Amino acid sequence: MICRHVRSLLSDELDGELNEDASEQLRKHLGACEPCADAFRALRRTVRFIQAKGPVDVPADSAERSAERFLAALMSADTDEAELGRVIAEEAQRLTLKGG
Amino acid sequence: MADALALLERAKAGDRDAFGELVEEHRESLRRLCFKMTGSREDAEDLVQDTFLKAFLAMGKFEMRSSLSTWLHRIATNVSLDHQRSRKPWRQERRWEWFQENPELAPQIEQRLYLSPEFVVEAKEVAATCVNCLAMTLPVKQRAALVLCDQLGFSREEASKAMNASIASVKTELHRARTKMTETFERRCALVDSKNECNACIVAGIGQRERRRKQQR
Repeated sequence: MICRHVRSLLSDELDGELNEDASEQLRKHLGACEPCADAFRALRRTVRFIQAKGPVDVPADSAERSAERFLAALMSADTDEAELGRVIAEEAQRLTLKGG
Repeated sequence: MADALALLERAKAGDRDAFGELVEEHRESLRRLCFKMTGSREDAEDLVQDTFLKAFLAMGKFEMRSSLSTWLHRIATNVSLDHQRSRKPWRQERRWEWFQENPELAPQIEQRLYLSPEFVVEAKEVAATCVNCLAMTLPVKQRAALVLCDQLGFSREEASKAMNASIASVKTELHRARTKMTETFERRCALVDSKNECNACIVAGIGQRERRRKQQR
């Protein structure tokens, strides 16, 4: 197996989707190739992180909700600077008022 | 079970109340899916309503080859994909840049929005927001594969049905999505790798706090 091929199979290996033969070959490669082994460990860390962060729901008025609004305003392709400033000011004030 | 079947028959015959009773228990799960696909709670609410409307109109055609839940999630996925198709993914770079350009505001924002004494937030919840919003930077099909398979626990086959795509294409999209998320998190996230200094992210404070806590032990 060459590295490029191995990289394309890492997700399948992680999910147990490879057949025994392919999985064994891949494992053999990972045992001998440090960069691919690193890539596999990194993928596994992130996927486990994402899977663990799945169904978290919090009450609508929590701090997380503010984080959402702020990040949406910051990163969304159709927000301009003025809109962003307004969201930041609004959220900051809302939380300050709430915190007393 | 007999009750559920009777409800289903009534719903298929166009009984709104029976339909409402049947689908209500799926509302939360559908809302979560639509929220993760759009990054907006308001849009998610609308899309869940669209899903219910489409489902009600197509109820006569619903055969029990799949469960009602699978069928509803399939409709919701389609509705979300349609909704997002014309929209651009969020811009990840903008987030890192903004925090770099506004270093004086960053602590204030973290303090006020996320880590104020009045609002102690669990790392898990903040990190969930972080994952959601970075998933919004993925092209929409990759996002759908990631949300369905890794966040909602769908099998690849279920995801392929929901996305109207082949299993092979779901695999490809999922792997691309995971690879991109890995590049981001491995480089940036202090929770995934404690060596990282998250200079542009809401978990920065939490990452540092956890590190300090570890050092104190």
